[in-house]
Amino acid sequence: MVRCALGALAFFLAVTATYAVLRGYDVLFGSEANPATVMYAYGGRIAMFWRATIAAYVGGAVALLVGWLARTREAQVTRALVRAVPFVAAFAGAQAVLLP
Amino acid sequence: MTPTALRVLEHVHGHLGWLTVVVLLHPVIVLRRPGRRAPLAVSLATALPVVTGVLGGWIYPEYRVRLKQQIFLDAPTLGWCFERKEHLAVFAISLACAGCVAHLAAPRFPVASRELVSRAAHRAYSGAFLLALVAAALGTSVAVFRTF
Repeated sequence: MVRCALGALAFFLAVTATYAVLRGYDVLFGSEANPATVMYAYGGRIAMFWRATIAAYVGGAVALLVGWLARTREAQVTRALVRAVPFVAAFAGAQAVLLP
Repeated sequence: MTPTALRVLEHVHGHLGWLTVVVLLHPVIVLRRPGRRAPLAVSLATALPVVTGVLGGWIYPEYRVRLKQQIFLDAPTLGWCFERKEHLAVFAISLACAGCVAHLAAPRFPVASRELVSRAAHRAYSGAFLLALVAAALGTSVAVFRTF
């Protein structure tokens, strides 16, 4: 149960961080067109949903890894995840505000 | 979907957004003291952002087709505000879920780690509240400018 909880906690933190990294990468290195010049159509790929899906995939992988690590190092993993929470929140907030 | 239905859904989404901000403040206050149990409040405070997010995701394709380009043409600053709002909402939802997991699972942890995990829940909800507050403010400013 504890390992599942740590895995789930890691999943949501990884989803948050991965989404922020993907969007930050798009803004800094992507070749996204100016939205004012794009006529959007139904059925096209929606970048936000795509990013969230990739983030969930990465989060799943991180959750499995954390669950595996927690078998032998539960206390260390718990401490690391607790410390990661404010950093992930600050990183995600900074990405959204500075690199929309 | 008709413009009237979209307008209704947009308004419901907006009101739920502000309600979400208020509801997320509850665990921020209640969970300040590690060890305090509030599973129902925490579950509800997580369910509402998820429901609001699902509703927003449902009308997002319509926003993209009908409004996005026009907003960026008329007021690019507000267009980017809406982009910020989308990202902040995603982060607020995932952080609220993280806080919920931490709070509900805390009693299962060894006694030595319990306080740490409770603190993680409080931190996650604090982050979710701040991000949701900014998202709601940005969303409202865009909705005032242009609607379906």
